[in-house]
Amino acid sequence: MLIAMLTVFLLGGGLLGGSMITPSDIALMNERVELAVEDPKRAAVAKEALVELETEVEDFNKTFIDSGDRLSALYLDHGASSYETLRTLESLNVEWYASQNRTVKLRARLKESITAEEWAKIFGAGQAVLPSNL
Amino acid sequence: MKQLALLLLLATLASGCSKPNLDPAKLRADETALVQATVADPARAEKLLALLDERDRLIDETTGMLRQYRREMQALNADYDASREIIIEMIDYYNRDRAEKQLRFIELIKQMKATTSAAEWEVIAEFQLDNFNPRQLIYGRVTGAL
Repeated sequence: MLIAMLTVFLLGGGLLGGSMITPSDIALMNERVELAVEDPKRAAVAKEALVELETEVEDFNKTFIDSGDRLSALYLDHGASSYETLRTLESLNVEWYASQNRTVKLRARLKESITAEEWAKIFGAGQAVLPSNL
Repeated sequence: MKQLALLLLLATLASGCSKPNLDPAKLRADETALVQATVADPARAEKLLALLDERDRLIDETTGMLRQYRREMQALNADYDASREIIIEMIDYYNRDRAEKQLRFIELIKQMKATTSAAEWEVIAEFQLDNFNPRQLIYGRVTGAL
């Protein structure tokens, strides 16, 4: 189980994986798109963006989890230097940042197929789902 | 008291933990007892316990930071017209804040290792990694903010 106290604590990535949005969040978004976007063509385009978002989340989660072994080993190693831990985390931070940027682009794509009114139904006040890793 | 609150929170969030039936307050007490039993010199043991208190405070801070970030990002995302630049600005801010906490935690680890021998550290670190699931310590506590 040694899932990476350090990865989780230090990277600050997310919930059970490395992103603050989970595949189950995306499933909920899909459901809301179905309800909010009546035009099937636009709904399909929106769902394509959500598929890409899910892939992005899953890809980063893999990176995140893989890094756990390295950070745990560094934590356990009494002789490991702080620099090694810092370098590992900086590398993860870079990956996280790149993932966030790709996600922001996907948000823009999602908007192209969704009106402001529909957006409010999906993400507005009172809605629990958010792409919080945007 | 703060530690106890933290661990009680952990208890409420234990679902999904690999050891869901363990009492977090007892685990933290066990950690303290382990430090006292493992670190030969009482003065070093006390120093390490103080560092663990600092660790808990840092976890609290980090949890607060993450909760705030999620709230702010939720509000920003809900705004259909929020620009890419504004969103990136928030990501940058969070990234910097997190990096600062990472540095503090790395410094804490350095101090904890410097306070212990290699043999002592191996015992304590293994206990920590085996028994405290920090995904629950921080992110489990943040889930409720969704």
